[in-house]
Formats: sequence, C-alpha cells, structure tokens
Amino acid sequence: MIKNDNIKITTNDLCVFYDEKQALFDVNISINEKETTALIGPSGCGKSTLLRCFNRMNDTIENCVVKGNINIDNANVNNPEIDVVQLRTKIGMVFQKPNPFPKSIFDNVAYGPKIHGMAKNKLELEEIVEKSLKQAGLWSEVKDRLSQPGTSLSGGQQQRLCIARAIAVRPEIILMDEPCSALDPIATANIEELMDELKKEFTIIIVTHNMQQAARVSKNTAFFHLGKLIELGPTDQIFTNPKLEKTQDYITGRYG
Amino acid sequence: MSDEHEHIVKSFSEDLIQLKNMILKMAGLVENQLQLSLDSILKHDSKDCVKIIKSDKEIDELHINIQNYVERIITLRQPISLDLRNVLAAMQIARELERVGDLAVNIAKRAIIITQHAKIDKLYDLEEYTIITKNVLREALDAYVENDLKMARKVWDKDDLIDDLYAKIFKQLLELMNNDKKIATPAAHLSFAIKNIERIGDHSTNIAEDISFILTADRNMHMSNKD
Amino acid sequence: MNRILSKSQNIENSTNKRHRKEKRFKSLCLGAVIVAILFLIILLSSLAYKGLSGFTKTTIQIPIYFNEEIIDPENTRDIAVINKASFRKIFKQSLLQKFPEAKDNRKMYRNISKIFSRGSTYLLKKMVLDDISLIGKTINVDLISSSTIDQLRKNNINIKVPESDRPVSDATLKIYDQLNTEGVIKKRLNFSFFKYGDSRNPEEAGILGALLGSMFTLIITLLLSFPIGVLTAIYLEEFAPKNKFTYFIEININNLAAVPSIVFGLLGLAIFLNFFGLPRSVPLTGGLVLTLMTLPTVIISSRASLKAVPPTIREAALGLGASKLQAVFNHVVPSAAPGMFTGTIIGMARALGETAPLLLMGMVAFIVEVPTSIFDPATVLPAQIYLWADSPERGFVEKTSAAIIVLVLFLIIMNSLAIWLRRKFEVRW
Repeated sequence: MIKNDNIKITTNDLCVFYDEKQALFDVNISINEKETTALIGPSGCGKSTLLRCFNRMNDTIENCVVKGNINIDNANVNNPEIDVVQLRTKIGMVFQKPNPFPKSIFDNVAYGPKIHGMAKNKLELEEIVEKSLKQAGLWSEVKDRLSQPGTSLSGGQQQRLCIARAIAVRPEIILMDEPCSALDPIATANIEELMDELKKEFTIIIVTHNMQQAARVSKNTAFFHLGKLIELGPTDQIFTNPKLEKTQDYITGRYG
Repeated sequence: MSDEHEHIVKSFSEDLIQLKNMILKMAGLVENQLQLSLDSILKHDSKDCVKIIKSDKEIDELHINIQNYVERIITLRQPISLDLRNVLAAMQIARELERVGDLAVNIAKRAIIITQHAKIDKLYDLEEYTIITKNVLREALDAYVENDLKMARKVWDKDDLIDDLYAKIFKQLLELMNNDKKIATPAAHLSFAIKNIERIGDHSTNIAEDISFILTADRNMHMSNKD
Repeated sequence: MNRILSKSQNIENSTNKRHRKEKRFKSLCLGAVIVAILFLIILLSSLAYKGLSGFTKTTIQIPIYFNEEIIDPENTRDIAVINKASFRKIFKQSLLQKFPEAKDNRKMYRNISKIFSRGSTYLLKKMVLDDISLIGKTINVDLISSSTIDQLRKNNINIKVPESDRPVSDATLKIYDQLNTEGVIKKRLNFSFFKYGDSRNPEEAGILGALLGSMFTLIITLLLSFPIGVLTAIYLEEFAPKNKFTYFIEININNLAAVPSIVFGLLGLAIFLNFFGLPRSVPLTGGLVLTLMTLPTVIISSRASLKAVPPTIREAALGLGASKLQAVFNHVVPSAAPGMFTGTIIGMARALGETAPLLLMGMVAFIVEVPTSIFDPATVLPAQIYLWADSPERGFVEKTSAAIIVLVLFLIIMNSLAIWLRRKFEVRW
C-alpha cells in the first residue's frame, strides 16, 4: 500500500453529478506531497472530473454538482466559502491541448504573477519569468525571443510554456490533464523529464491515457472505472501485479 | 484468471497462443526424447540412442525460435503485467526444456556405454523413479497449458520425492558396486544417469515456479503455499 | 493495366459517374461566380458611365462690368449697401454688352440668360463681397452654365429631334454654338458638388449635406450600437446563466435581425418622436433608429466571434486564478475583438445604405442647409439618391449616379476597413 506519512490531498466520499448523471461515485483517494500520482482509466471514467475537482474548475460548468469533501492540507476546499481564485494560485493546471494565450511568451508567463500582484516591479517580474522558464526547461530555447507570440512555438514548447505559466504563480500542486496527448514522442519525453524535475518541488497529479507514461512518471497510480476508484497503489505494483482483475484487464488491453 | 478475457487486439492474443504452441511443440519433442532415453536405460537397449542425440538439434532450433519470438512480442506488443510475465516465463520454460533435452542426450550417451555391459539388476526403484520424473515433467507442462496453480504446486511438492528416490537408488548402486567390483564401469555411468534424471526433476520444479510467477507474480511457492 | 488500378466494372462506372458529377458541380459554381461578376461589372460601369460626368460642370466665360453706379453709387464701400445692390442688373448689363442684338429683344434676352445658372447673380455678389476693389472694373468671369447647357455639352441632349421635343430651343442652340466657337465654354471639375447642400437646380446641387448627415447619423449609431451590442454579447455569451429566460432573449435578438427595417422606423417614430418628443429630421433620431436596427447584427456577430474563441483560453486563465472578469476581458475579448469590429462595421455599412426607417424619421427630405451638428435637420446619402432619382430634370440623373458612386466608395472604404482590422488583429490558434 501507499505510505501515508505525507498526504497532501484526501477526498471523502466525493460524488460529482452532471444534472442527473453521476460522474463520480464515493471516491476516497489520498495523494502524497511532492510525488507524482497518475490517474488512469478509460474515457468517461471520471478521472478528469476528479482532477478538475481539486482546483474547483468544475465550478465553471453550470450543471455540475460536487458533493463530499476534498481536503487539501486539512482544509476542505469543496466549500462555497473558499475563494477559488486563492485556491487556484495554490493549484496550477496544465491542459490537454497546449493553450498559450495569444500574447508574447513573456506575457504568457507573466500573466499569473501580474494579476496576483506577485511582483513589485518590472525587474522582479522578469526574474519570475526567467526562473519559471528555466524551471520548465524552455529558457535556453526562447530567451532571445520573449516578445514573440507564444503560439509561434512548437507544440512541445507550447506545452512547456504552459507549464512555465502555471509554475510562475508558485503553486504547490500541479494538475496535468493528458498533457502529452497532442505531442510527439520526443516532446513527450521532454515533458516527462520535466515532470521528474518538478516533482521535487510540486505535488503532481496527471491524468493520462498512455499507460506507459503513467508507469514512467508516477509513483502512485489510481485506476478509475465508470466513476469509481477501482484501485490505488504504487505504480510498480499496479502495472506488474494489480490486485483486481478489472485493473489487470484494463492495463493489459483486455478491457471490453 | 484473465485468460478467458481476450485482448482487444486479437492478434496479440494469437501471438501469445502461438508462443504457447511453440513451447508445447518443444515440450513434446523433449518428452519424447526423455522417454526414449529412459527406456534405453530401463530396457538395456541402445537402439534409439543415436536418434535421441540427433534430435537435440531440432530442440535447440526450436529454443532459438522461441527466444526470437519472445523478443518480437516484447518489442511489438509491449506486454505488461500478466502478459509480460507470460512471455518472460515462456522464455524461462523453453530454457528449462532445452536443459531437459540436453540431460536426455546425456542419459542416452551414458546408455550407449551402459548397454555395452551386463545389465545391473536389483535396482528395484529405478523404474518408479523414471516414471515419477516423467510424470512430474508432464504434470508441470499440463499445469502450464491449463494455467493451473494447484497442479504446479503438486509438481513442486513432488521434487522431494524424486530427491528421496535418487538418494535411495544412489545408495543401492553404491552397495551393488561394493559387492561386485566388476560392475564399476556401468554403475558409475548409471550413477551419472540417475543424477541427470534427478536434475530433470529440478527443471520441472523450475517450470512449476514459472507457472506460479505467471499466475501470482511470485516465484516463491513456500509463500503461496500458505494462502 | 497496373493491378492495383484494375477495378471491377461497377466501381469504374460509379467513379466515372462521381467524377462527372463533380465536374458538373464545379462548372455550375464557376458559372454562378461569372454571372455575379458580370452583374457587378455592369452595375459599376453603368454607374461610372452615368455618374462620372456628374463630377464635372460647364462654365461660360463672359466679361462682367461691375458698374459702380449700380453697386455702390455713393462710393460708401459699405457691405450693407453692396448686399442690397441689384446684381441682376449688373448681370443683365454685362450680358447685353456681350450680346447687343438682344437689347430690344426680350425673348432673345431670356434665351441668353437661360444658358447661365440661376445662381449666377449670387456668384457675382459673392465675388464683390470678397474683393471690393472689383467695383468699377471689367473682368472675365467663368459663370456656371445652366444644367441644360451642361447636358448639351455632355452630349446628353439629342439636338436632331424637333425643337418642341427637346429642352433647348433653336435660338439657345445658336447662342451656344456661337459661344462655343469663341471658345469660352469650358469643362471644369465640379468641386461645388462636394461643397454645397441640395438645391432645386441640378447644376448647383451638392452632396455635402447628405454626406455630413450620413456621417453624423453613423457616428450616433456607432457610439450607441457598438458598446451596447458588444456588452450585451459579452454578457449573454460569458456571464448570463443558460436558462429559459436568456434563451428567450437570444431567440428574440435573432428574430430582430430579420425584422424589416421599416418596422424599426415605425418603432422609432412611436418612441423617439411621439413619446420622447425628440426633433424630427435630425441625425440624432436617425442614429437612434439605425442603432435599433444595427444592434442585433452587432450582437449576433460579436457573440459568434466570442464563441469562436477556444474555451481552452478561458480555462487557462481561470486555472491561473484569474477571475471570470479578468479571463473575459484580458483574453477572450481581445481575441474576439477583430470579429466584433468586423460585425460592427458590416452593421454600420448596412445602416449607411438604409432609407426606409429614416423615411419615417423625416430624414428623407429636401434640405438645403448643410448640417453642422447632430441637432440640425439633415438627410442621408441614400435618401439623397432617392430624392434626386425622383427629380425629373435631366441634370439630376447624373447627380444620382454621382451620389451612388460616393455611397459605393464609402461602403468599399468601410468594408476594406473591416477586412484590414480583421487581418491586423486576427489571432491564429
């Protein structure tokens, strides 16, 4: 089982409904700090829904109702009184398709710090941007063209720009929703290498359809099926000898 | 376990079945080879020995084919979990079978020399010993075909019986040699042959352990005995 | 034949059929395009053919004696005195000097005076008021011809038909020929077309009044419809909850876009004129009515361009902790702006060409004064075109076409602006 000494997030009987349709059923999951946790499962199993619960992105969907507790650092964030803006500075998000703003590379990274007033002056802002881009492994590639639009970069670079943009706000948790599904294998390898670096500082939760990727990058893996958490365990155990036949069938490609 | 579930990619399942068939073909050759070499010893008849030695080449070729096939599956299908264990175990089992084949050849070579001398009588347990060894190998392979953990465990348990019988026959052989110095040459060769037979038992045990690895991801049958 | 290309007869037949179908469709499309271009060319060339001459005028140079006896007999050089003076007499005296044979021939004099514009005496007065030193001198003045003579010079009058069937008498024709041989009849660019308002006389009628009227009206329309339309679109698209009520509003906006413009005119008449008692015929009320008409277009196109902004951009901003307002105004609206501009400009172009609603607001009227503000009575370009097209004089025909050319130029400029704006600010994803 997972060692439980450094838990960052836990959920208690988390249920999510879209109108009448229930997307998540009584999910109880715990996620460790400064480790990568992968959420796997077939499409529509609720893994992305769960991911979007952590930073309350589901609030933007009108007919979505989230019930149950989500405890981050022992505070229930699924509480209407929690300020989502503050919550989202603590939890960064990287999306499936690279989605840089149609602005310059610099402005992309600087946007978060700017709106949260994290830099007192331009110099500080530049420092934050440089640090974030360096951490995202993009600095050497873009340092001479920071004023060019972010959309002019290649897909992999765009995704790393999005990661730089997310970490510029200095979050504690980074949510990644299939971050490599639109990238080629080399760009994917770059992101995976980056994740390996980032996990020293951030808690990473990644949703992926690529089981090999989940196996490569994560320490723990959770398998979801039809809105239920089927199995949660250390990645090597999940991928060599899962406890449940359902998990086994899914990871070996027998899921029917 | 999941074997009744087909892979979504059917050709993957077909590949695994094909691998298993290759193992079974090799097993059939090896069993046949073993049968003939044991018969040569028991019946004191060397007429099949050359055939046995020659057939080893075919087994070696099959072994190489299986190795290549495993490499192909791992590269192209990237199996994980149960599938990966299946493929890895298949490679192991093929290796065990290849060793059994080598031992059968060794026994046949001994038999050629032994049959040039008078038959050593009074080894009353020898026949039972060979039958048990053959059966254990057969059961191990059946367990592999059936994915039967219980049968594999039985195989594993019977290794002690083979070891005991070996010790007993070896002791008898030593006594016979002490009583009659003239049989020293065939007795020495026979002692090597029964040692080889005992090794075949060990390989069967290994196959049983491979089956356990496939089904439980655990080679250690002591542990799995408990649950 | 290559094996891979050899097909069964059935497949070959069906592919041939499909290819033929495709060819047929393509040629139909091409034909449609050619017809459209042909019509456009016909329209533009007939406009140019009829209208370009509207930008020229005819002048006749004759010596004018600014007789001090008539203008300022007491040598006061007082403007009030000059203003009261009869420049008609000056004009007549100079004409009789030029054509002495008309001295006792009243009919001939009338024929001669008719070749000049009726505004000639005003021109002479204006010249003296501008330069008092002219008094007592004789100067060659280029007087604007009457519209009939202008048409005659432009060969728009068939002189071969019997005298009773044409607007120029034989006598006038004779005088014209005489002047023509003297070389005093000249063709000039008609700058006054852009300098003056409407007039009963085609040779004096200008388009400035209608141009400024259109401009003032459009400014009102732009200032009202752009912010209201864009904000409505942003609210409906980004903030409004999706319920039956907003759905109802949405349907109604879409329906409004299809309402005939005359209905907006009636609405404006009832609300702005009758209820609020706003003045008639002024760009303010015209602009208000056109705003009503343009709003649905602006809202619909703005919503469409907001919808076209990928939702991932909103998510990216929200994910960074931006508030809804920040996400919308920092990222979504800038990305949608080109589409909004384009939609607005197209709506404005439609408003520019609109007459029906303005008819009811009293803006389709004969207004000579050039408007100086949104509270002055004014007419608009299409209304001016309508009025001129309705006038029987031959001179207004070319004015109509000239005005259409101006209107079309305006539309082309606005549409080019829309395209330029879209190109410049377009975001490529």
